[in-house]
Amino acid sequence: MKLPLIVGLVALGWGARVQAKPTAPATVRLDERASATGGFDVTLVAVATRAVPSVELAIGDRHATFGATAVGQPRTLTVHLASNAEVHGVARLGGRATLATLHPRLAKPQAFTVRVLPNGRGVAEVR
Amino acid sequence: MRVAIAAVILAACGGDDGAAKPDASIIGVPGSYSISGVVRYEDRPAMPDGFLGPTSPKIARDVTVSVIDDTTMATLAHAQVGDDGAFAFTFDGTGGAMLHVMATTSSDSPARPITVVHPGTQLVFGFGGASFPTGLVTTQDVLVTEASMAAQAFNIFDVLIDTMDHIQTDLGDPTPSPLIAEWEVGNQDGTYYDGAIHLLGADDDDGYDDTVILHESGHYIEDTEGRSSSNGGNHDGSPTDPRLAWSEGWATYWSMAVHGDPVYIDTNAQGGFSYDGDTTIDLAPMPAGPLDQLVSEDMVTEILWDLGDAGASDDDGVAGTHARVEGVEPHYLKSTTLRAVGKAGVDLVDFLDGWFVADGLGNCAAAKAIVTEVHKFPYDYAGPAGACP
Repeated sequence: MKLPLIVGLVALGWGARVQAKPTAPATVRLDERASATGGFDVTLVAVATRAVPSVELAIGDRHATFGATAVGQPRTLTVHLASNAEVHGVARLGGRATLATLHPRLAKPQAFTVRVLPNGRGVAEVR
Repeated sequence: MRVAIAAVILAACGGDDGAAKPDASIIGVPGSYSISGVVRYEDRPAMPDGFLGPTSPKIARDVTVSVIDDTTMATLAHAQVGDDGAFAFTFDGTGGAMLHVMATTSSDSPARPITVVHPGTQLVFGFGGASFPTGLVTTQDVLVTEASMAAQAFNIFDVLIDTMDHIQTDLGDPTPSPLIAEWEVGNQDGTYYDGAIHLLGADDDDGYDDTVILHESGHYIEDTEGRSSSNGGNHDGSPTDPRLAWSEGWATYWSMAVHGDPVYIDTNAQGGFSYDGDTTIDLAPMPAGPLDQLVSEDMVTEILWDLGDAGASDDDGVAGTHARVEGVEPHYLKSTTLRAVGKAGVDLVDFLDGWFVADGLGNCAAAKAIVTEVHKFPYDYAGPAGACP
């Protein structure tokens, strides 16, 4: 049974380990629904993954602050928007912040020229 | 001596308005010409409120620079700049032919083997400056602009130079392993290390977040200069597997030690956060508990910072050096058989064992004050260096 052993060794390599950056102790998402009065209601939902003394939510310049929050307890902030444009919401808790984005703006692809350096390395040149 | 002639002609033209005056005598004439200048990029500082500050030009150290013929697309000259960002080429060309200087995020230096690429294509980032006529302009600086969507890549390259230089000065390795970093606007793959650094967070892409870039390079240090037993995954500062806590706490400490500043900042479009590893105090959950208890990565960072810092701002009893703390990775953790205490694999206990081996037992009381009294971590002070008195 060599194959499982090899697979196991590969799984232990650095390529199989994802070392992510520090995040806030919450799952964060933005929900959107059309409003009966026109426009859109956008709700930032943060669910704490550990008990924290406070939670701050923000969408644009709208802020809401909550007190002690238990594990699994959702905190929400809803704002009304005229259009379903790009929206950022952030949750700050446990001394950290995590961003959620609705309708992320796709970066306009930059026109580039591919060149090859004398050492053989390919370059995407923008000007 | 075409170069000398061209220089004399330009000097005679005065250049009050900065514009080159055409000199018909060299147009179309093959010869040896020269161009020099400085490469800079637009940098933005990460602010403590989690937003980015305004752009300002910064020298682009050690990037590769090429002189490109606009018509033939031939590379006429190719070299790396120094730490002053300056280049000076003499090349064979044709007077009046339009050229431009291209800077790229790669280095062939054995001391700084860094490449910053686009994900997928793995093409290096390149920025081409304004075109100029051969022989009629002899100085042409290059400013990599944020608008070109390449400045962040040049910033990542420049920040990783600090990691490479730190490997040499503090870890004693003159030829670090090659390091590739991927960055792209709009990519939603996230920020992480898996053998390469990925900075792909869409609206939180970390291209200007120096401490986030350095945090991920801290994992590269574990990978290439030391050892890690972390299985990775998300981490939010909560008490977690001590091997994950060690790895992440180490990486954040590295991000602080490289620039000698205990503040970690992660900006984003809505305002991120900052964390001070010197003044914040995280505690072990069970002061009388086992060595393998779940702990916070932040507690690890704070202990490492206090063991490494010194000077007027030092708020603990150990006047340490970051080199001694960092050196535990290559000189102890990388190859030493670890004690069979704590969690199997590398964690804070193993680091402390190695730190006492390097530092001796002279700072036992001051180290105890940091580890046991302030952070309530029940280390046993019985490592291979001997028992603390």
